[in-house]
Amino acid sequence: MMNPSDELAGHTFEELSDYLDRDRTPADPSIDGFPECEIALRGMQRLRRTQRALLRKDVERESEREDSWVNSILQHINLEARAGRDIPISHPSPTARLSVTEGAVRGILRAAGDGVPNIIVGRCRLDGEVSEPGAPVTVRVDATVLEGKNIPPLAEQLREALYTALSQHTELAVEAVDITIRDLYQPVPPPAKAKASSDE
Amino acid sequence: MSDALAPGAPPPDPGTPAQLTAQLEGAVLAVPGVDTLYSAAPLVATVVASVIATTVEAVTGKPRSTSSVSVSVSEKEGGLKIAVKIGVAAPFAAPDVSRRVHDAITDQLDQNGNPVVTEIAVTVARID
Repeated sequence: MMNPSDELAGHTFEELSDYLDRDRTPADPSIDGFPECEIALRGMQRLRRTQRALLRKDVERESEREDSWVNSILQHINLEARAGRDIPISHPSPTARLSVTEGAVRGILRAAGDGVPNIIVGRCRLDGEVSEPGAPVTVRVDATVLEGKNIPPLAEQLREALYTALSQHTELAVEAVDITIRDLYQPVPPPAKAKASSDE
Repeated sequence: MSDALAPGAPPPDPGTPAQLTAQLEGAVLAVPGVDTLYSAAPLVATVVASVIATTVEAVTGKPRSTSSVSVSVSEKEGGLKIAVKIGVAAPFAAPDVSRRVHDAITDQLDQNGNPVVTEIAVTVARID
């Protein structure tokens, strides 16, 4: 259950979800104008696309719906979209203070991970003094893998994608990328009403 | 980059704050890779302003004007402090874009009389 402190720029997660349901129309500047909301919305959009793809793959399957992992991921998206710590970016000028927020980095890590087929990123964490240039940092990512897939090569693909994103967008001294596969997910069967309507 | 003024010299006129802000906004948005310029105001103030603007739009039916300040210009230790918060398009590397934004700001300030600058803060708040 979310509480008021979980709000992003004054919006609850439910409000952001409703906004996505409305296809972000009419445009709401109190949402669109905040990077934290945008990061959360993008993460939610990717998760929804994954769910729809699973529905298409398994439209005839009649198994018990298990969506607790979806709720768990949604909560992580919400928490990790927050700006968090500033991660410095170097510049030769003494008056320059350049940085990328921890929330932005977690957002690109999640996006990079979600780009790996059959894997969904759960939690992303940056452990270490990220605000201190050169300090060793360990990236810890939890993920969920589609049942039946071979986990080691998927984890390796995920690790490569995360390293690529980190090296492109940060100057972090990444000591390790630790990946934990927490769960396996099954294709989600469609709700009963979806059978009568066409897919999006 | 601006240097300290000679002793006794009057500070150069960088233009009105509104003019300078508008010029800096244009300079930042012209940098390849910058896809969004977020409000540099504190979060609470921005949320309140945004809610008010949205309410006004709902009541009047007219599009609201984007009045939130995207580039913060303030005074710090006898010079200007410039702060911007940007979104970066993912094909571009965030560190490169932030450095180019910093350099675009210094170039613009040079054109505005090279005022004393104590800090230029560029924050990448989203990468997409």
